[in-house]
Amino acid sequence: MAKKDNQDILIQSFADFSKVYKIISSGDFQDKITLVVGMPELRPIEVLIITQFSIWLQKRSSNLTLLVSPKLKKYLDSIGLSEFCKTNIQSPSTVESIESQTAMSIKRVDRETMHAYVNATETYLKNICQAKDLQMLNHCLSELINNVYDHSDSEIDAYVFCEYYPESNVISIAVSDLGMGISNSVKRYFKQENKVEMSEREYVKWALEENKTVRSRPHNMGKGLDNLNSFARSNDTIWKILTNGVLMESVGSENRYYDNPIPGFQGTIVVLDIRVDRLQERKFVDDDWDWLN
Amino acid sequence: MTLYLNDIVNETYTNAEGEKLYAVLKDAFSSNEKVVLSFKDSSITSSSFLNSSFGRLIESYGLDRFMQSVTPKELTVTQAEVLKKYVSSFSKKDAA
Repeated sequence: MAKKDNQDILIQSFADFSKVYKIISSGDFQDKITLVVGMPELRPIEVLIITQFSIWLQKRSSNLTLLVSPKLKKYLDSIGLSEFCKTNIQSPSTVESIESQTAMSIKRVDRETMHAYVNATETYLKNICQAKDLQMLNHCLSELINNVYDHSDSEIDAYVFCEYYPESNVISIAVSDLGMGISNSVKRYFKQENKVEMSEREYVKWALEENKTVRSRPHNMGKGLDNLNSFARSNDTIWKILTNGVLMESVGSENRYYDNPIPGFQGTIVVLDIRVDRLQERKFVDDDWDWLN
Repeated sequence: MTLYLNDIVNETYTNAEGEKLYAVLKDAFSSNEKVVLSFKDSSITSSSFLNSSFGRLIESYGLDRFMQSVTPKELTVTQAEVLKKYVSSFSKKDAA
């Protein structure tokens, strides 16, 4: 419940976002909160953490103000962060146009709007990735968003933000939710099935294996995250998952697991850093295609 | 008979749309018809969509029957890779 006072939160490093999650998990916060961000830049993952926090607070009648450098303010204005946070409190609402030439506007996605968003992303990226096959990217996006709805029990839907970095020719896409997290979801399933308990990291590893599913919906057969794994390996995409107390980072063909650098993190964020030059050209299969070839 | 995926579903990302495809293919299976399914101009299939369509058919009728009865065509290389990976996971499951 909000208390009538101001509260400043200083964010000078990625780990400092633990202060945000401490508020979310405790439910103890003031009427007005100022996030003083001392970081020089914000990547999609940080943009979404701030976005989710803002919406979470506004749903509880508290307000978030950002105090940032002029350069960062210009960036956040260009991606329409403030307008998005004001208009997406209860349900998805699109910020139609933003100044940024290298980002897609932040999107709150639900099952009804997923298709439109994935198509809009493809249209936007076609200009950057001319003649490239973007279908796997669409595939990854739809897998990630479906996962939120199938597994996370997120109160405030899923959020997606996409930024292109021309200097490195990389598209960075982040998908986030404030749900229960992958390891908690798997842990709950293991408990229901009377399976032996494992560590948080082992739960996340399990979720990334092919055909592993908690079957929270009848149509789950456990192929979503494995598909992402395959996509990432096939074109050197670097991807990472932050979920509960775990960080998974892909390094070459290997997935490595660490403690989440944000203590007390809640939910799941998946980030894909896609190298445009490694995307395949769009090609069609010959007519005599069959299942066995 | 040839069916066009875009005529059956609005998109290929959600399980709700997958169920529409399942219903159409199930009719064909019931009458022992072989289906050529064209993916012309359709988006890539998510695992949720496939689970609710192809996956359900495979679980009901078996992998062999499914592969004999459904032939995709007019796919991109990526669509084909996704479908093959999906279907091959069933043969791995059976082998395990």
